[in-house]
Amino acid sequence: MSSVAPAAAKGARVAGKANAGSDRSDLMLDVQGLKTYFYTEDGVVKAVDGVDLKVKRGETVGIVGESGCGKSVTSLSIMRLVGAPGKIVEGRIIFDGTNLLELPEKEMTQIRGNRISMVFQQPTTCLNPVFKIGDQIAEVLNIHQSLGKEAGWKRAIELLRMVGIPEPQKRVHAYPHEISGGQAQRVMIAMALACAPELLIADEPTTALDVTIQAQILDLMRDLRDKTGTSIMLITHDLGVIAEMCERVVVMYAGQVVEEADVYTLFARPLHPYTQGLIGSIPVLGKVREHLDVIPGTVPNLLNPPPGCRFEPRCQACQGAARERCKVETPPLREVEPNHWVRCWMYEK
Amino acid sequence: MLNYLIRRFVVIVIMAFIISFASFVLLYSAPGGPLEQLASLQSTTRRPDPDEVERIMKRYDLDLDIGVRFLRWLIGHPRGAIMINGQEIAQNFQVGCLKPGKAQLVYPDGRVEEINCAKPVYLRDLDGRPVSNGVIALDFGRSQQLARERPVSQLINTRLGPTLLLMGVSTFLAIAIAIPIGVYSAVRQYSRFDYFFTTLAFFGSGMPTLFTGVMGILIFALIFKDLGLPYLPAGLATSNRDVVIPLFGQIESGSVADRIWHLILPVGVLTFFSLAGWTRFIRSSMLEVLRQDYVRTARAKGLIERVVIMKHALRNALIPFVTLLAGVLPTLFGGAIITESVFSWPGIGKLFINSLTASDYPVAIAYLLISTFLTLVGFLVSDVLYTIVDPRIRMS
Repeated sequence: MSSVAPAAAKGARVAGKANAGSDRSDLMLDVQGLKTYFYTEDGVVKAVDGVDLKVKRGETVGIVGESGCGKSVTSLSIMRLVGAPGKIVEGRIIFDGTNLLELPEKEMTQIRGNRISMVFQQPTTCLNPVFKIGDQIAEVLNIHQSLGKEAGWKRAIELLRMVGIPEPQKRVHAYPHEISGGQAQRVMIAMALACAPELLIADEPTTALDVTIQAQILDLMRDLRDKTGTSIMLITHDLGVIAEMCERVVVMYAGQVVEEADVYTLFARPLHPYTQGLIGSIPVLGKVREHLDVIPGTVPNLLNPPPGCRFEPRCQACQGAARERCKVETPPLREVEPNHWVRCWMYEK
Repeated sequence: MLNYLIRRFVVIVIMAFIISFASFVLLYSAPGGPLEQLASLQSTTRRPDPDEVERIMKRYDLDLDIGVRFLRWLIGHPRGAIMINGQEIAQNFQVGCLKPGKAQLVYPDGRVEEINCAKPVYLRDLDGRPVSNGVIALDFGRSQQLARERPVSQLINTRLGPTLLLMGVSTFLAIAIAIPIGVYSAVRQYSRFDYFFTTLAFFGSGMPTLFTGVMGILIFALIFKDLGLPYLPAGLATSNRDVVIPLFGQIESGSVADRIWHLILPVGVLTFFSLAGWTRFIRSSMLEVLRQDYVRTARAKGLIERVVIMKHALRNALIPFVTLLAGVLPTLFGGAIITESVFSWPGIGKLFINSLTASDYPVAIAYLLISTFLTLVGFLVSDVLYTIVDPRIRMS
């Protein structure tokens, strides 16, 4: 990447705030108590209800959970792109020492696409059908680095080559409908990395792609991370992707973080019954089974979540008297082992 | 591309032929016409003179079969006996009937034939009858009632200017106002602004121009004049003589100011009426686009909201809008029949409605044919425009 220098300059701009505490300087993103609610006609949907999340510089953090658990809303909240009727009602999103929720919209636009970028799930629908991909990449460079059209297109070709698109000088003239889904995702990644962001949020970047293309895109992201040192927040429901890409994993359930640990610990010794269920439901290659293991029940309705532990209605971990507490009282997220956090009453000491 | 256009053009010609035949037949099958007018005029005083009836039938080709009539209108033929080497061919080919009834034909060889016509018309009877060069040669014939014997094309030419002015200005204004309102209503969906203009739009489209036009005349032409306020004219495209308007000054007859002064009310009525449709269309199209993933991508890039809306969203929202533009082409020519009538606007819409009430067939049919043709061309234009504004669509 040739434009590391501007990124460093950007870092220097907020260095005063970032270095307030020396231990915080290695923290890229610190989400504290984030609550994003949707005010629908039926009532308030608490899509994200008190999420804490940390991403260190150069680290890849995976966020995993079922559909509708608030992963995507969390990422959109960080970008401040939650549209009506959704609203961030509480919490702090500290990015490199600055609380993004206190920034005026104008300053926020200078962060989006520049210091924090995002890659979405459906690459083909995420590109504007009426503009050439060269234009769409050059546009990012134009707004954040004031690159003119010609320089922007030249850089766009470089970026397309970097993300492994064959014949980039030709492809740059293509319209989104003329390229495949995998190539479109490469274009999205090129666009996201155009300004060498410090944080890349990838929201299910491989879900809509074929398995072979998935592997290629993951390889690409890992390569680029190693080259640029970008922190990555990888949102997925695929534990395989997590195992491949991430150093730390955050498991979300019904708008809350239920477990957080480094990837080895999480796979080796999952503590939360939900995480255990998730890992248990991965089919094992070569092992013939009549039925796949599943977690019984469905994700609770976030309009009217269970009063106690949100996983309690589906939990099979314990019975009897211990269970009564789960029904009425929400367990806090607790560090039960060094760097291993769990939201479950079973581990109360 | 050229191939495509040629193919489309051939289809247009065929379609125009079929539609013009259909409208020709329908128009002539409808009750009314010069003969009935004659009959109604004469019934009170005396019976229709049979010679007069025959003269009119001959003059307007009403004695001919509809197919022959259509041919003469279309290509200006047949014009009389067909001679080959001094020999008349098809001399017994009957092309019409001047007087219904029964007749016996006695041939020289003694054969007797009974036919269902008292006075059959043969090709040679067409000799010397006035006929147009046919619409193929852009000759629409001559007016029969409104302005006797004046060429239809001349009538249309004198009316075209006022209609293009009225329709052009009101359509342009409606679109120019509708786009910002529609976009803003979509961006601020369910806001007070949105509700206000949605209500106004329904009101505008619900009120017929007949009503708003008459109310406009009542308020701005009559009441304002009585109150001594600057008033607007009740009709026509220009004043017959100079007028002095209170608080404004003198307007010279036929000047630019005079023309603008006459335009305001009819343009206002038409704009208010069509504004609704355009606004609703832009709004729904924009709402659809704003939900798309690429709009979120545009925001995630760090674009300010104005650019997201005006560049990324609007560009896509205007794609279906192009189809509507095709519908504008025939109305630019055809005018607004009701509004032109209310304001006595000397335009084509008024000419058409006058030609219908007066049974001036050549004028009515010229209007229908030109509108048909422009509609078909409009479709072609919109299809071509589509390929320009939407890269996903290519001609084939």
